[in-house]
Amino acid sequence: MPTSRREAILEGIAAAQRLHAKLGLRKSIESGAASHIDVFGIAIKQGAFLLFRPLKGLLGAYLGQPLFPSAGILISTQRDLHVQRFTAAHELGHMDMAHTPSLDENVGLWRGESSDLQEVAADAFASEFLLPRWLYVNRAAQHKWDSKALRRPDIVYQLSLRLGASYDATCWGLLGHQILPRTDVENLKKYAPQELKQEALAGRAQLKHGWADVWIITEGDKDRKFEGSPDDIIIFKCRERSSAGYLWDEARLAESGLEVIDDSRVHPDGEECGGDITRVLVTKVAESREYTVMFPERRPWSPHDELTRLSLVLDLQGKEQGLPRSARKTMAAA
Amino acid sequence: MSHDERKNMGTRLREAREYLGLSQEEAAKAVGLTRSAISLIESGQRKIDALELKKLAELYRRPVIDFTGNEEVDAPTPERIQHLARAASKLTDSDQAELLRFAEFLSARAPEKGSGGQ
Repeated sequence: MPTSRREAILEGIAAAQRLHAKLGLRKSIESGAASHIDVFGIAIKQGAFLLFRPLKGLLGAYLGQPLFPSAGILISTQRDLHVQRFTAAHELGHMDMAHTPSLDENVGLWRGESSDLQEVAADAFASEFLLPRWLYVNRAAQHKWDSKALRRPDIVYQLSLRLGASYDATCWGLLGHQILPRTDVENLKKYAPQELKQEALAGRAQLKHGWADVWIITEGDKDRKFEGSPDDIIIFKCRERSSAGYLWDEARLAESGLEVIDDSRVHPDGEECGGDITRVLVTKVAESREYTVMFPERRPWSPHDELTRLSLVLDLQGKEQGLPRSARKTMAAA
Repeated sequence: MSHDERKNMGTRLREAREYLGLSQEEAAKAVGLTRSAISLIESGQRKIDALELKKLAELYRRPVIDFTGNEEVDAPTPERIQHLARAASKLTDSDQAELLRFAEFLSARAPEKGSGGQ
């Protein structure tokens, strides 16, 4: 048992790293076999019964040994998906470190400085489990975001969406993993996510509510799967080689189920002709489901002559309710 | 089984399904029935055979007796649940109720098939 806050943090981090290694998570993600850290699926595989119910004051609870014969994790449906993910990771930490049952009104960043060492260890576990350094490196490399780019709040907001974490948690991870110094992280923290969402929208669409996100999808997102909400706005920003006759085929976005609500082209440095331009397509969806997007860049007069293709899966089902979706899939297949 | 007993069983089946957030369609697909069959079973208008009941009980992670038992038995509250109730005494009434229901569910739940906790 840890006897100090520092020991509890180290214990939580070590436990998360052991579980990553046991599950081969880093290898799966770096090879592309897994798209993200499926914390709900992992909790189930580790033996927990996981359920999402309308808890009002509690974010989550872990029930297990010694009071209960089997482990159970209960998570609130009243918060958005990234809070559900962090809470599930926190409860998984309790289970993994064989803690006593715990009722959690707050976890991680929403808790402040806790003196309960079991909770400190579970928070450290959750942060390391969902936001390991290697995942930052993987996501940044995919988009060629260097340390200069990671000082930009708009980039860090997009990074947070690709990590499945809040903007705040992503900023603290940049500091904790020593990717950026404290002064840069404190500068990033001056920006509110709402402000960054409006900047990303640039007046081209309106969000239904403050919890919805704005995804900027680029060619760096090829072959990835993202988890968001049905109220999110998805903006495709892709370099278009129109001078060679290649255009992004927006009709294929509509065929994938996305509604294009704005379509524009941005010329480099305000030039009107010549050079590659950026095609900007603002889209939204009508229903909560998974969308498989096939977005080719090709010559309109020669549809089989594709220069490139942006393929990705958008899981826009939002927060979990009742049994987790991964358990429902298994259930339907049984 | 009388009509009232069937209706009572149907109500318990519906409550168990709703607790897990499953739609009638999802439940029907998982046990190989139609959505309307689930609807009729839950309203007590259709008989349910032993195999169908077993499949639904497995799906809802409950022992079959939870649906066939006659009256609510006034069993003593297990010590572990009493302990939890004390720990949860500062929570809102609705959170306490959710927590105790989950604790009872975990204590009573039927052993699952395959690997993992679900």
